[in-house]
Amino acid sequence: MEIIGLKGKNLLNNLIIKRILSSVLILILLISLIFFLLRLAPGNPVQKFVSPALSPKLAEKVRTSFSLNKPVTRQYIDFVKNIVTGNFGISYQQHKPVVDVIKEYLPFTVIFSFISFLIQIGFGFLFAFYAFKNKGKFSDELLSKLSLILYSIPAFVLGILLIYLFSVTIPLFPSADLRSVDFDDLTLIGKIFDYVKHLILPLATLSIPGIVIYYKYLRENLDSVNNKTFINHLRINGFDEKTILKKHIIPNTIGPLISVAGIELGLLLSGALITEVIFSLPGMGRLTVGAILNRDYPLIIGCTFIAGLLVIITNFLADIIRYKLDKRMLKGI
Amino acid sequence: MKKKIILLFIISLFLFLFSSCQSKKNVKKRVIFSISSDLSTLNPLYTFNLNEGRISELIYLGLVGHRWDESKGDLKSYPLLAKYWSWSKDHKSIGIKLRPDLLWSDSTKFRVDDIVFSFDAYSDPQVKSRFYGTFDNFITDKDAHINLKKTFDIISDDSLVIHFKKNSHPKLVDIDMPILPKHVFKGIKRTNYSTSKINFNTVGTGPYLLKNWLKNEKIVLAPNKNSFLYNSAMIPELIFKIIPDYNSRIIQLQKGEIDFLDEVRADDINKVKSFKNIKVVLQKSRTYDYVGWSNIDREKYRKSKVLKPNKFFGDPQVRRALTMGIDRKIIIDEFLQGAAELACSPVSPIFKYAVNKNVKPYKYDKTEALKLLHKAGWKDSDEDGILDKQGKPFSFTLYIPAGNPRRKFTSNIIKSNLKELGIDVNVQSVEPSVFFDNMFQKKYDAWVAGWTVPIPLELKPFWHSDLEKNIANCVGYKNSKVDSLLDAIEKLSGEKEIVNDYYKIQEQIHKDEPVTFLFWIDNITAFNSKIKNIHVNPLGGIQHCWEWRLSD
Repeated sequence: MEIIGLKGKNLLNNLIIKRILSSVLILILLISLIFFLLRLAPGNPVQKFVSPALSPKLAEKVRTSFSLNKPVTRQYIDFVKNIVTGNFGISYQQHKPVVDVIKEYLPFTVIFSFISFLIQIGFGFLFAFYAFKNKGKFSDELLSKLSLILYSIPAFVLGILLIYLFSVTIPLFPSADLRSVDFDDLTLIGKIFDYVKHLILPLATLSIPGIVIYYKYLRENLDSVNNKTFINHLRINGFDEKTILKKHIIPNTIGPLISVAGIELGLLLSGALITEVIFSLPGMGRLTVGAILNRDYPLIIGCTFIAGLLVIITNFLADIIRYKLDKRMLKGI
Repeated sequence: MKKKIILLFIISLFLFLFSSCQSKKNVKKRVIFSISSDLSTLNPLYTFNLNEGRISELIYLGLVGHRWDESKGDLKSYPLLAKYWSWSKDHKSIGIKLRPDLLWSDSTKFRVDDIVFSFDAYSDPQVKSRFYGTFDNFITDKDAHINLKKTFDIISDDSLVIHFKKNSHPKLVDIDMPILPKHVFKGIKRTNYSTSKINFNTVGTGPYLLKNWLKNEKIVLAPNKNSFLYNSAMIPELIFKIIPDYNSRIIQLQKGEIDFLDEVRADDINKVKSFKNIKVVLQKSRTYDYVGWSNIDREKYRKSKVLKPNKFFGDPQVRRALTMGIDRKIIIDEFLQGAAELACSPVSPIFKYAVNKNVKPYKYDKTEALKLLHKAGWKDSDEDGILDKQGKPFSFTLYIPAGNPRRKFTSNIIKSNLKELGIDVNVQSVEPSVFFDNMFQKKYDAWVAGWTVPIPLELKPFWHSDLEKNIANCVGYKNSKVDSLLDAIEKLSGEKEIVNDYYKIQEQIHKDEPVTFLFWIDNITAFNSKIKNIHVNPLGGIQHCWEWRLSD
């Protein structure tokens, strides 16, 4: 048994080392690809300096200061040198180091995404098990139809609908923002509740489609595992339903779901543009799209790097969890 | 039991939230504005966009202030940081006496050195300010940097003289820029001005100062008690909320979460008017939409800088025909709900003193348009339904910036109207940043865009044929008469002569129709009726907002 355990540990260590090396390579390739694509794409970072009100001399000066007048290969070499030292450059738009800009937006996105992720998983599981337990009954049918409707509503429609219902028609929640304008005057408890009431609608908008995904995925998996021969064998052998559900159906159901959760969390952490725009929230989604529209090259690369890094990390964590649940999966990973 | 407790907890949480949401709103005296995106900076050296300029002007003042003279339709200048000024006899120098009560918001005394430093910084090539390269009337070095020794004579602590170039024609606008605090910039490398922390730590002389800036959330201004404009009755807090989505802005206005919103869309006027406590003001604007027809052969110009007529739109007759062939009124009536006025020249109706009322918009007249096209040699000789000339069909691509419903609607009208004349138009949407880059680089033959005419009125950058200097002349319009009139206006100081020249320019441009002038779009501003003493004018809704008062 010990020999098998050691083998497993070595395999896991090898996996971690391999994953770190491949992740570094993926990130280098990713930001290099973005670097060249940006320079090949139409559009001009000094566009905002071209206007009848400004001197044409200014655009040229700015172009030089952004080093855009240098050959692309030279720009790439300088870029790589800077990246090695952790310097992503200065955002053209925000006049600040890219790292500082991202530091302002990332914490909100991380917290917001994690809360939404937990809501998605939690409610997804809850509804799936409820439907599974009431299989074939009205509530199962209702949840199935409702999930289809909710899944087909685009996020921007859902957001506006929720605002209309719960902010305009019944003024339960604020229609937007992360906190009220009086936030600084509130007590600690007041501040917490202020955040809560501001985040309920955005979290609902962001989480409902996710809940539906987990619900549908889990509901189908529960059915599929429940119909497997080994479950029938367990039933024939007299195991009670609770034990079968807890010890056999659930573990076999959530395994594949962890990979989906890993990808989903990675995507959430990259920013939720539509929710951020509708509810005026300061997240990575808005930052990234703003950078793209303004051709803010250093900031686009910084945001891409962070998004890539988060996707890699969450996927890796998902794989580790899968391994911890079922050591046989290591070979598959 | 457990389930019941959880249910009870959830219900009480909701009740708590509900009650806390119902608590009194806007108890504090404040005005909340909405802006669509966050600012990059409040440092006047780099306030390139409209909102940056508008907010920064409340913090940093210039020597000269302006009000809008509604009866004349022009700027009325008045001394701001300056107590008064006087021009020399030859109009090549201006003496400035400062107000005696000037203090920076950090309580440092305002000095003439601050003025010299500001002009120095604005014109320094290392700083790359928004004014760099625009000091044509000043005595500058080769790199366009103002020569401080030859330009400024400091007479005393509160007075100085500014000397201009020998053959220059200086005006008050030449000295109209926000003055910067020299002591704050001390010790910072000039190349680092744009990235320095001073961009977020403002020290100004204006009526307001920056109290708080939460990135992508809000900017809060509070009264600057050191400012000579300070008045205890001023609005104690101005909040600029960043709300990127237009529909969210409308909802927040309806809910009283914001008090001021400009750029309301025409199709929302009636809806916004029905909101409780909201007033709506329609203001004639200085922004017009147009269809750009490249007057020149773009390829030839890009290769050899020679201006040769464009094969489709080089002939003024054809351009007039195209204007007559487009039903512009239908766009105003159906899309803009009447909140616009037909345009016929580049002089906005707000400039009452300069508008030539004899210049009238071309009427929508398909028959006349077709006649003009035939006269210009465009006929359907092969009877395929498309006009042609020397075997070349009249078929082109009309570019529009993507994501702009008004321009999309306009392009559809143009396409269907011109099809009736036998002209084939292929409409193509392009991502805005690519669209404008291509437009300035003269990569299009036809496009739909808009211009905002500057205040004070200036036409040269848009219509003078020196295309290298006047980048906004994207159509490559050339008329020597217009060129000389535009050059002359710069040198004239008598108002009558200037107005006369503007009249002639409008007549000539109308005749040449270098673009199809579509319409002047009204600015629609909505604000809470609790705001008193507000005068929405072409200089912007929030201009002079330190004079606003709140009703109890």
